[in-house]
Amino acid sequence: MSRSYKIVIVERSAIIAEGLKSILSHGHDYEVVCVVDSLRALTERAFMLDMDVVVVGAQSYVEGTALRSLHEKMSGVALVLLASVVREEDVMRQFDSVINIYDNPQQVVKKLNSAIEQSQTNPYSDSHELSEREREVLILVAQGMANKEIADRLNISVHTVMSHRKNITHKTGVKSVAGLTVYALLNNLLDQNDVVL
Amino acid sequence: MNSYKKDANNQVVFSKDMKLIELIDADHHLLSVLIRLDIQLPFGDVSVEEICERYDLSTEAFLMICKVCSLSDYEPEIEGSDINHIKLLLSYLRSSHRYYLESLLPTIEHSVDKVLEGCLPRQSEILRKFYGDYAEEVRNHLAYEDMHIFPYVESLIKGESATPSRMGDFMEEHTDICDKVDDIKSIIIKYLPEQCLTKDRSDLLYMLYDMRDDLTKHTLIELKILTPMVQALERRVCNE
Repeated sequence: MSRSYKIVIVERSAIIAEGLKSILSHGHDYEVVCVVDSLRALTERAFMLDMDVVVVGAQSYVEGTALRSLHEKMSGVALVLLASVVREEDVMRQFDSVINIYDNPQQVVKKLNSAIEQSQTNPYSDSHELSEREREVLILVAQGMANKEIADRLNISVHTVMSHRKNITHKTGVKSVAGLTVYALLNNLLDQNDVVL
Repeated sequence: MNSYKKDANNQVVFSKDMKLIELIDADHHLLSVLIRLDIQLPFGDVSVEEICERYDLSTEAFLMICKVCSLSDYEPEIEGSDINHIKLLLSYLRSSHRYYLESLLPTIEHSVDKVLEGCLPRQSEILRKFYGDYAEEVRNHLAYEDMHIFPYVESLIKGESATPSRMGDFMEEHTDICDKVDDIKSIIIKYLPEQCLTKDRSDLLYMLYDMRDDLTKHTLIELKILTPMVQALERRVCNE
C-alpha cells in the first residue's frame, strides 16, 4: 500500500481545524501532521516538516507575500485555500484548489486530490536552482536507488520523492537516471567512485 | 516563387500531381525520404505519381510518409491492407535503419568526441559512456525490429504466417528512443564546462535536434501507418 499524503493545516479556528482533521481521519489517504495558526509560523517550521499539502484557512491568509516565500521553500507541495466566501480571482489563482467550509466530506477529499495532481504538473516556482532536498534526492537517484528506497532513507513518502523527481527534471531538463547521473557528476554533487558507470 | 499549393490553414497540400521539385521546395527534409527510397537525381519536371510509377512504389504510401514527415497534425486514415503500401513502408523503414546505424550514430559519436576534447578526462569519460549506452540502446531497438518485426510482416505479406494481434503485441513492447536525446541536448546546452567549444557544441546540437525529429517521425510511421495496416492484413489473412 502506498503511504498517506501528509497535510499541514494553517488555521486559527480550532473548531474548523478539528473539523477538517475529523473529516480526513475517516480514510487512510491523508494524515494531518501538524496544525499551526499562521503562515508565518509555518514558514519558520517549513524546513523541518515533510508535507504534501498545505491547507490555508481564510483567516490565516492575509496577502500573497508570505505565500510566495512559502512556495519557494517547498516546491512540489500542493496549496489549498479553505474559504467560507468566494474570494477574489487573483487570490484563488495562487492556490492549486479551493475548499469551501460548506463542502461535504467527499468534495473536500476530491479537491485535495485534484490539488495534489495540479501541484505535480504545474510547478509554481520558476527557479532552476535545485533545493537542498532535491539535491539529496538527485544524489540517491544517481546512486541507483529506487523511489521506495529513497523514501525510506530520507523518511519521506514515495509520493514526495516522485514530486521531487518531477521538479528535478523540470529544473535540469534531464529525465533519465543515466542523464541525471551525468548531471550530478558534472556538477560535482557526486564522486565518480559513488556510482557504477 | 513557390508553385506548390497550400490549404486554408497555410499547410502544404501534398498530391500525386505535385512535381518533385515542388515537394522538395515545400519541405527540403523530404529529400531524405527520396534518398532512403533510392530515388536518384535529377528529377527534371516529373510528378510524384510519375516517379512512383518509374520506381514501382505505391504513390499513396509515399504521400503518407511525406505527410507524416512534414505536417505536424497529420492523422493518416488507414483503410484496408494494400500489400504494396506495406512493402513500400518496409523498404523505407529498413533503409532508415541502415542510415541510422551506418551514418547517423557514428557521425554523432564522432561529434560527441570532438565536443569532449576540451573536457577533463573524468568528464569526457562520463559523457562518452552516456552517449555510448544510448547508441547501444538505439542499435538494440533497431535490431529487434529488423530481426523480429519486419520479417514477421514480410512473411505475412507472402501469406506464410498470420497470428492475430501479433503486431499489437510487438508494438506494446515498443520503447521510446527519443527521450535520452533530450537529456543529451540539455546537458550540452546547460551543463558542459566552457572549455568545450561553442562551435563544436552547436554543430552537435543541430545533429541532435535533427536526429530527434527523424526518430520521432520514424516512430510515427511505425505506429500510425505500418501498425494499423499490418493489423488489417492480419485480420484479412486470418479470416481467409
